[in-house]
Amino acid sequence: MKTFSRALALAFLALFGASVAAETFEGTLDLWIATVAQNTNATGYMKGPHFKILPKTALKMDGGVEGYPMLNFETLKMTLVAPTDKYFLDLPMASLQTPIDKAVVKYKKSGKTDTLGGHPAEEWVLDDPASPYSINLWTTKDFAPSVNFLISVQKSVPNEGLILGRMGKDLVAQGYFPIKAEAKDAKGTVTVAMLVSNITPKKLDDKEFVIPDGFIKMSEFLKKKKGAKP
Amino acid sequence: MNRRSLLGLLALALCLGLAGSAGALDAGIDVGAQWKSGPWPLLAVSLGQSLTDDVYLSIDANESLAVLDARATASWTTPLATVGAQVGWEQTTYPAVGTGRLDVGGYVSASLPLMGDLAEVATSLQYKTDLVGHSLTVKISPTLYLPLANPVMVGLVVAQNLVTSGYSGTSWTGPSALSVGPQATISLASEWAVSASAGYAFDLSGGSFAGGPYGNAKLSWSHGF
Repeated sequence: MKTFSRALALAFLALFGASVAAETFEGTLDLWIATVAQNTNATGYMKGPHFKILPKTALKMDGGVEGYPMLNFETLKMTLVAPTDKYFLDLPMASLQTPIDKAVVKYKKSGKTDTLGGHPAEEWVLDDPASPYSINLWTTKDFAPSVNFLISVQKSVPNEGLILGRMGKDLVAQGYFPIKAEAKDAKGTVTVAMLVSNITPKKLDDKEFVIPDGFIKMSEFLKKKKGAKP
Repeated sequence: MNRRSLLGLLALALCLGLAGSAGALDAGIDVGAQWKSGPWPLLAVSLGQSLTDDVYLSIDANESLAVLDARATASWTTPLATVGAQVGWEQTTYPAVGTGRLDVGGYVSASLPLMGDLAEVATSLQYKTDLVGHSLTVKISPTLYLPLANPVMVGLVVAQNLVTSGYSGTSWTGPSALSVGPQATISLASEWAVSASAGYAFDLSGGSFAGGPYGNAKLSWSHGF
């Protein structure tokens, strides 16, 4: 009897674990983010703590490196990969995550609902009369994202990006998938526009999130070019 | 070492490179100018080959029209540091071709990354002996890496060099030099780069801070086969 109970418990755990795993999204999505600083049209790859943004057109990051970023929310490390020169650069993500963790943002459901990209969606709005910004974020419950991919908006638009990043953190933790966002400044100018489409659940190979063979650190790349030896 | 010997050395490196199976052959050429006592044109040729994932063999020849320095290095990279063994040949070539000096030695270098990979403090300790005297150089280089459209490294080099005047001497009584100066490298498109360094070298051997400026600017081409 004891053995049977244990087997039942294990089966329940396995089923429960499987259902949790099935709810957490793994797959690809089309991501468009336009800010005052850049316009990104990319395919996002999401799996566990990983999020890779593969631009459809050349994406210039961090001063102008052409390549793609890979975010690891477990190690809080962002890796910029430059395919042309075959180097990569590890950057700490704490400078993006810590302000979001500390930010206090008041927001609420507006009550508006819509169907976006075939998914039922509801709108969340900033609920802070003292804020000069007007921000809305649409989410769907069709998928539960594994990471808050709105974390890096603050790199190009610090204030609105921070608010969106915090809203994203809270809502992702509750199983909401950010699908559309818009931020306006005090003058009513749109400073951030974000749209997610073609959300496609599928199994991704872990290799998607690994630095390709033969790539070296940017420091080694430059030392090699300099011909450095002691 | 005459020009024929230099070519032979490079041919040997090429053969070793082609014979190797673990990695690509790297080749590079630097042209530029350097200043110590005066401006001299600079030509450097390098060939390198990965023997395994961790072991790298290279041969460098550096001709400034005043001094020829040819050096073979075998280096082993570990997670903590890089260790190298070197055999070199150095001789003056201007105003007259001098007698060559063979030297052997080694080095250990390590770096501490900061802010992810955006900065590092690199240190190295290099020893060599020409069987007449010893030379020991300690170098510290804080460096910043800027991921711009053309990646840039900027840094400072502080080097302390101690030399003995005699092989049997146990104290570092010979010339001692301390040099301090900035360095920068900009990666140009594809395989090209521009590097420059400058500074001031103090001669501490006489108990004074007498010395002079130095500088180096070069255009580099490197290629992996």
